[in-house]
Amino acid sequence: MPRNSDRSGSVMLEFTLTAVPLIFANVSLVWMCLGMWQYHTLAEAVNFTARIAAVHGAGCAGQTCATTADSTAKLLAARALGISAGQLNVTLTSSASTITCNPLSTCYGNTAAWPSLAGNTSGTDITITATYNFSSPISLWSPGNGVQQFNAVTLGANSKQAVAF
Amino acid sequence: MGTGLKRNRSRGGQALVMATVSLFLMMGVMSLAVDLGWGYLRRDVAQTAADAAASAVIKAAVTSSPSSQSCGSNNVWCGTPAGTATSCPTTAPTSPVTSFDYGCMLAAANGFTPNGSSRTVTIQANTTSPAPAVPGTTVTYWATVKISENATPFFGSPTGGSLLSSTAVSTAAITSPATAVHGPCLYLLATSGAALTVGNGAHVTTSSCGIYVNSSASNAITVIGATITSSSVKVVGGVSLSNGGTISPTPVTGVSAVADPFSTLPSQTAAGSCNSGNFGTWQATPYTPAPGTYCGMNVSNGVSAVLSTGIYIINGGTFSVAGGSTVTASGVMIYLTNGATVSIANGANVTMSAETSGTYEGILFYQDRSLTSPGSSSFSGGATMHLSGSLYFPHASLYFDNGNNAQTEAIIASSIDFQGGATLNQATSQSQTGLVVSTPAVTSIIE
Repeated sequence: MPRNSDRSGSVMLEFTLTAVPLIFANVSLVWMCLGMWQYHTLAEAVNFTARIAAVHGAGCAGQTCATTADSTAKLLAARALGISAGQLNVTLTSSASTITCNPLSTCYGNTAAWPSLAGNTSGTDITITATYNFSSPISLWSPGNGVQQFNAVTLGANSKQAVAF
Repeated sequence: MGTGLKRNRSRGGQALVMATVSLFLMMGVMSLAVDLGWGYLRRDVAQTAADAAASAVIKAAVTSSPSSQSCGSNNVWCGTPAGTATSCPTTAPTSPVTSFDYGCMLAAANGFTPNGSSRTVTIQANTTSPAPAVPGTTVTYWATVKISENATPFFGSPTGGSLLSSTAVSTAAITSPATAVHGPCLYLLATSGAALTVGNGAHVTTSSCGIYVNSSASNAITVIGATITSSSVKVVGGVSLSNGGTISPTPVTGVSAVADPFSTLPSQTAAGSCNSGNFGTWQATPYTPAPGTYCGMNVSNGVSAVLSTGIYIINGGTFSVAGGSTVTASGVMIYLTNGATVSIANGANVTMSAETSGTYEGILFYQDRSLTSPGSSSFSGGATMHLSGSLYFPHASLYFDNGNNAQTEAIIASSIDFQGGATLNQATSQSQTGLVVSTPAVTSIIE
C-alpha cells in the first residue's frame, strides 16, 4: 500500500507536468490560429474593398455607381467576416482627401464621395489602411505576472491601388 | 499487491492519452487554419483569373474591331441572345477567334477551366450601356466573367461538402470609344546634316500633326528667316535659328531616331518595255494614260492629262509636270525606280490623290527604297498644286518652293528644303496617307 500511494503521487505529478504545457499549447494554438485567420480576413477584405473603389473611380464620379465613405465602410465590414466593425480602425486615403473611420462603424452614413472628386482621376492612387486590435488570453498563462489583461496585438492591412476607371 | 500494481500501470498511461487527445485537437485547429487560408488564396486566384478573362474579352474585341463594336461582327461576341451568360468549354481554346474564346483562354491560363462539377466559368457580354453590374456608366461593350469553385480542403470537410466555396466576378468594358491619335506627318530620315531647312520667309505649318527629324547634326533643323508651326517638333540632333527664324512649339532635342513608317511597304517591278509618256503636243482633249510602266512621263505647258486609277511605274527619267499644264489623277500611286525623280514646276495645275485602299493606300509618290542616292525631286507648283497622300522618298532630298495648297498629306524623305510656304494637314484615317492613325479605345475593369 505505501508503494501504491507513492505511485499515486507520481501519477498526479505526471498529470501536472504534462497537462499544463499541453493545455497551454492547445489554447495558444487556438488563439494563434484565430489571430492568423483574422489577419488574413482583414487583408483580403481591405484588398477587395480597395479594388472595388478603384474600379468605381473616375468613371463613376457623380453616377449611381460612385463609392462613398459609407458604401466603402459597409463593404469592408461585410467582407471582414468575424471582425468587429467597432474595433476596426480604417483610413481611406486618396490624393485629395483622407477619411478616418475610427472605428469603422463611424463611417456608416457618411455620404461623402470617396475617392473624392478632386482625387478621382484614372491612374491616381487610393489607399485603404486598417488596423485591428486582436486580444489574446495567452498572457494569462505567463506564470508570476499577477493580474493580467489580455494583451492586444495590432493586426494591420494596407492596400494601395490605382484608380482604374 | 497484484491489484495495486495493475492500477498503477493503467494510471501511468494518462500522459500518453492526453498527448494523443491534444494532438488531435491541435491537428484539427491547424487544419482549419490551413484550409481557411487555402480558401482565401483560391478566392484571390479566382478573382485574378476573372479580371484577366474579362480584360481579355474586351481587349480582343477592341483589337478585332477597333473603332466600334457590334455583336456578332468582327469576332465581337455577345452570346445568343446577346447578354446571355455562357459557360466556357471544358477544353480551353488554343486558337481563339472570338472575344469569348479569348476570355475562356485567359481563365484557363490562370488555372480555371470548367470541369463540369466543382468549377464553372461563365461569360456574359453585350454592347448595351450601362453594364448591368455598374449602373450609371457609359460603355460601348462590356463583359462579365463569373468563376465559381468548390475547392477541396487539404484536410477534408467535416461535413463532406464543399467547405471552400468561392465565387469571383469581374466586369470589364470599353469605357471610352476610339479616338484618333495622330503622329507626325513630316518624317526626315537622314541621320546627318541639315535634314529640315526652311528659308526665304517660308511658313511651314503642320498644326495638327508633328515633325520628326532623325539627323543628329547640330543644325538638323535649320530655319533662316522663316517659321515652323507644328503640333510637335522632335529632333535627334539640334536646331539652328537665324535671321529671326522661329519654331513653335520649342523643339524637343536629343530624342531617339524614329523608324521609317513605310519600311515594310513592298516594292514594284517595272515591266520590260515602256509606254510612251511624252505628252507634249497640244490636243483638245486631255491625254488619258493608263496604269503601267513609263520611262519618264512629261506633261508639257498647256497640255492636260488625266491619269486613270492605278499604279504608274516611272522607270528612269522624270515625272515632269510643266508650268501651265494640267494633271488630274484620282486613286493613283506613282512609283519611281531606276533613278526616276519628280519635277512639278511653278504654275502647274496638279490635282492628285492616292489610292484609298489596298497595299498602297494613301501613298501618292513612292521612290524605290533600293535607290540609295537618288536625285532630288522638286515640288514647286505653288497654290495650284493639290497633292493628297504621302510623298515617300526614303533616300532623297525634296525641294519645296512657291508654297502649296493646304492639303492632307505626309512627307517621308531623307531631307527637305522649304523655300516657300507649305501646309500639311493631319489625316483622319489611314487611307489618306497610309500612316497608321491610332484609334485606341479606353478599356477598364469596372466591377
